[in-house]
Amino acid sequence: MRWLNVEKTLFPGQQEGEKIYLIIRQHWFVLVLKLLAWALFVAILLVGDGLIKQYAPQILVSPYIEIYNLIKSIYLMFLMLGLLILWVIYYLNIQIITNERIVDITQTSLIRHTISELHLNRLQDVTAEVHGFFETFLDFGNVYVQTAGETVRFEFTKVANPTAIEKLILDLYDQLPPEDKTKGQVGD
Amino acid sequence: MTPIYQPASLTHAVIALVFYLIMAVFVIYSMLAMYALIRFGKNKLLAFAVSLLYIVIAAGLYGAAVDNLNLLKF
Repeated sequence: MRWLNVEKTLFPGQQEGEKIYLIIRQHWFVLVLKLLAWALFVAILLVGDGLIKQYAPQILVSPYIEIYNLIKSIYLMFLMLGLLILWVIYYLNIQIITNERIVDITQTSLIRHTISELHLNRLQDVTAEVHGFFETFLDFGNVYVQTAGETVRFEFTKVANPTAIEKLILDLYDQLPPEDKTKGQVGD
Repeated sequence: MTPIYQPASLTHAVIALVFYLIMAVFVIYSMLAMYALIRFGKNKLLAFAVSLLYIVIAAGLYGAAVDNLNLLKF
């Protein structure tokens, strides 16, 4: 029953005294786009209702109406389930920037949950990228964090204010003690 | 309370079987979603509130679906 306890730490492995600077989720526009896709399925139901009333009114009498209503009820249930899954996956995908590391918590599906972390002393390069119409006007984009000695790089996709995030990461790296900075360099 | 479905014919029984199989899939996915939300979500209170709201809505829709199943006539 450990999960019932309200944990003081935000993510597994959080050190005592580790200061969290930023918790990032994807930009709200990403959720809005997903909700619009969901709304299309709601529209199918409403448009279907209208079309049936206009072009196939014989469906709206017994015994067909009961079958139609049953299908509609099941469809509505799965619409609600879809909305819940959509929100849960959006809500559980977070990136955390602390004074020691970057933690990427990814929920790609309901049963796929990965946590990766990158110590700031292994940082080599940070890139912020904003491209596209909505990205430019709503100020969101990608942040790429390249680590020293590894080809794997962290990607924060479609996060709000990517340039500020890039600057924060670099500032936190600069604040590291010089002996820590050299620890993660290639060839050491 | 929603009455338990009593199949009157083989067709009814088959439809009821398919219906309850679909409901089983629905319940499994719903539980997975709520588990993930409560287990991994930072704000447990929000997770419980959302789960509770979802259960209330899903129960209402399930009741309506069972009623519609019972109304089927062949």
